[in-house]
Amino acid sequence: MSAVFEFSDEQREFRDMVRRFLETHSTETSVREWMDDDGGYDPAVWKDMAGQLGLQGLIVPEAHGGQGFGPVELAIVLEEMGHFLFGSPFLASAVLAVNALVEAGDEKAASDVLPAIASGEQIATLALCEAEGSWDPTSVTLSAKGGNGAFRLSGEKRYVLSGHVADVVLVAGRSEAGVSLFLVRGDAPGLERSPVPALDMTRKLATLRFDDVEATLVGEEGGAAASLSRALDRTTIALAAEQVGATQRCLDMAVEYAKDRFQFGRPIGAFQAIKHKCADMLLELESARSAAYYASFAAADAASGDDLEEITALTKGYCSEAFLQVAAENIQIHGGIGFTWEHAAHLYYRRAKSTDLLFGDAAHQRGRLAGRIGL
Amino acid sequence: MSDSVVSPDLDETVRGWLDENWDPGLSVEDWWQKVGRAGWAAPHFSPEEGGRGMPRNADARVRSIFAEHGALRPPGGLGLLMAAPTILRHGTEDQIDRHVTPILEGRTNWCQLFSEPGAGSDLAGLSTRAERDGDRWIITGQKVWSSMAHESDYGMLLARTDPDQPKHGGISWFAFALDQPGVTVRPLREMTGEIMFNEVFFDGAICEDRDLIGGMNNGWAVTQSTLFFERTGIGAGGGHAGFPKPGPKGGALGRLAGDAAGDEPEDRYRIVAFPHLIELARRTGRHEDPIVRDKLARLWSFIQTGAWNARRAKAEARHGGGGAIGSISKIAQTRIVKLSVEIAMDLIGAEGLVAEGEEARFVDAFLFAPASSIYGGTDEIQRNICAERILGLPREERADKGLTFAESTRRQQSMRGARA
Repeated sequence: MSAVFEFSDEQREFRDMVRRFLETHSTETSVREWMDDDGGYDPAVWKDMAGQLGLQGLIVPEAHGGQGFGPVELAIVLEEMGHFLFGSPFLASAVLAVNALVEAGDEKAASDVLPAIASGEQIATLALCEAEGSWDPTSVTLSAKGGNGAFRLSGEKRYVLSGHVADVVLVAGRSEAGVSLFLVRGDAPGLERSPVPALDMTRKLATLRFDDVEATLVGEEGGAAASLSRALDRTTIALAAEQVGATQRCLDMAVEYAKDRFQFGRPIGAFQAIKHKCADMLLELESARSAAYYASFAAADAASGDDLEEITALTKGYCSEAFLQVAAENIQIHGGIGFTWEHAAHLYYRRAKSTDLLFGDAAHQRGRLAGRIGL
Repeated sequence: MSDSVVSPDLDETVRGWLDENWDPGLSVEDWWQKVGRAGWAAPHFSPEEGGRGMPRNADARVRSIFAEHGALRPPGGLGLLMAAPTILRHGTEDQIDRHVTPILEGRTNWCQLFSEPGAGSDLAGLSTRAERDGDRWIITGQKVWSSMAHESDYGMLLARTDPDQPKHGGISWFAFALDQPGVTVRPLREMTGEIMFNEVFFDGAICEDRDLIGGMNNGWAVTQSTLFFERTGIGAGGGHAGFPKPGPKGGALGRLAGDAAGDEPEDRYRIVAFPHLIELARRTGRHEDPIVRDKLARLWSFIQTGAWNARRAKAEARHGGGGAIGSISKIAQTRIVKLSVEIAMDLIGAEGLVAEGEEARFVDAFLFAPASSIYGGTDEIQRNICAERILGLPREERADKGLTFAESTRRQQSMRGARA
């Protein structure tokens, strides 16, 4: 993998373009406006993003109306979105649902659904987690009855990203053949969708209840556990990049404040107690960034022989803790002001813990990692 | 594990060279000359500098291939880690010829003569004097914490050449020959029970003017290079003690290379490698313990992100960036060392009460671990460097700002007097 950590000029320009878009459309004011909205995002910005940048179709194959880019470009986008705390169904629709559909290898479902996701006209998500809170696809219990591609689902899904606004819901269910993936329309009869108050108010979650809901099988019946694991790993790597972007913003805020805030006649950043905290934040940030970049290059290079599961577990575990630590220290450096509702520090602190919990927390990831390093 | 840090061609090239050249019947001196001339002592130096233009991390790989092959490894030590790159950057052609080539060929062993009892982390507070006497310098004063000075032929000496300048301004950097009258090297026994550090006393010792590196009173700038090579070298896993010791004082040059290759490194206590810990966890039956698994996975994350940081620094340097990552590498290395020995002591349990036998290496490593956050610039100083140079935080207010070294020394004395 000679090309690791080498971003091309095109990729650098692409990053600048995404950043400029978000600077305009994801200001703190707009983040706060949309976090108070039930839908959680600005449909006009969502539409512009599709029209001007085509980001919703970033990793959708060209054959299905997307741009056909890979994990490195995706990491670039999410790093920038994390930095600006961009509130939208992007992670749910353009990342998680697209990965699940692509990994399922079902051409018909892909051609039915992906073009509308890529164009931003429809929002999709994946419903995986249940009451136990496990992200392991093999633990799925939601009941799927039927055959010949037509199934009926009953049960409950939790923590579904953008679940209450999704037009298309991919659902992991258990049929007689095992864990399978199904496609359900957001307005299907028998599907009850309840927004839940989320720790991270900028990223909306819903509980979905299925009462004998009609569903279409995606991919092979009973064969979804492996493809869902791959899709989750790819999404997790992208999420790590988002964590890095947000971590960078927290450090920037802390350093800026440490230079401006005077106490005892000098900027607090002149005191070693603050300097050393900032240096440790830098160590966490840069190490997390190296991991997230490495993971995205590894995911892009299928031929590298890298163990993507090991790299994903390591990266997510590391980036989660780094983000949490830096977000917490950012509040500490700001002192009382950092603990107020008006300050942005808590928005990042919320994002830090919520991204840690999504797809398995740091301890869970280290548990996975331990199994792959000779223990 | 998943990450092959250097290209697979490297392995083949090194093995091919060893197949053709390794001869256990050569003297260590002759073997190292061959190794040095082929560029294997510092493969990360450019070919013009006596290396092979390979990435920084190729060095460790080359050394392990030598060991796997049964060949005596290239000479190491602080000369290679710090003196050679410093002299390459700041020295004249003549100085490079006289000093760098012998280091690459293992003919000299070097130590660092920087720290002083009265200076500590405030390195520029040093008071060892160098006074001009025709075309030579007379050295008077004392150094401390000089690793391996008792086995070294040369020292990287910092001395004050003008006390009437501000303290950073009146310092010069010398390549100093230790083997002469007027130099006393006194080994210090450390808390590990071993001897690595020394006190070095200068009483009218001599340094030739041609061994002043980088110009008179310019030593602080030269030292910044040395310190950079030190912290990035340590962070990159360099700083390996040369074994056997290079140079005449090390005493190995006349031995057969084949005999020297089989010796155990003396510095066994300094390293707890990750595979040792995995093996130890299995041997003690603790590998199923979720706490042990969590800690080992965390340690592996530190090690792996450290390796990725180094690769990323390299890639970003090609695009004119990447300075931040070099500066965090030493702090990153410290936490790896500390967590490694913590896990090791957890795993051996009560056997840690005993400092001998199979597990003694872990007890030794535990005792050595506190040194990692002190040597090469304390963690506190490293964090200041990150905060001030990378993040741009304000510099600490210095009480001796604007004073010459002589004024600042008088002030210290009067403050001490007032306190007493």
